[in-house]
Amino acid sequence: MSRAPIIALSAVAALFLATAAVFTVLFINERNETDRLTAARAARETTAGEVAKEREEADKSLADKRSRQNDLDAERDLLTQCVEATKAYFKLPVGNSPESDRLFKIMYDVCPQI
Amino acid sequence: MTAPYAPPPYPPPQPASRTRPVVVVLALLVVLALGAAGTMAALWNDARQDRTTASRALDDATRQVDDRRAELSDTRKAIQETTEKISSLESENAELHKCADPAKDSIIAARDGNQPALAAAIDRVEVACR
Repeated sequence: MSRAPIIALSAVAALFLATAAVFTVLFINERNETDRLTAARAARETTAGEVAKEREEADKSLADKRSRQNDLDAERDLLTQCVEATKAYFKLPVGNSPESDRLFKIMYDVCPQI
Repeated sequence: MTAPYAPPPYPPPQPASRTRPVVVVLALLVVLALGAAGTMAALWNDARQDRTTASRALDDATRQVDDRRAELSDTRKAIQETTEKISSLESENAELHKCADPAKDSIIAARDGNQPALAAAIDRVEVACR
């Protein structure tokens, strides 16, 4: 019997085995890369969680500061009205006038709120 | 009586083929190798898709971290600006209080009819509210 079929079958078997080996290596590489990417993503998500927590604290701090700023703005408005009316009132000549009455009313209404 | 060199009445046995089992084994090996190659190719293809998915997920997570860091940075900047405004307002209000407090005291004294307190408050107003 001829040896040609043996040689041909050996060659085909070797080719398929080599192909299987190549795909095995490629598969292992892909799995390793996938594992690396998955671990990196988990680390990123942990970081995202930490940053979100910091952001939450920062938002709360910002809200507190804005509230404080609003209070100070409101206080400044009252102070400004009181001070401007007072300064203008004490610059007027002594005696009643419509302007002195207007300024005194502002002082009377605003200054005690401080 | 038969002739001494006459051919036997049945065909002589053929020598057993030694290549046939080898061919069978090789054929089996070819089938197994083909199956293995196909299986590994399919597994590789799945792993490749998994890697693509994992890569996209990593990109999303990275973008999410970057976005949150940018938002945090903006918030911290806003906190810094607000803190500076608060400091400025506190200074401004402290300066205004120098005049407003005696003015307030004078109004309260006038409202209560407390003349000594009113006189003292007006003296302070005249100093502080120039």
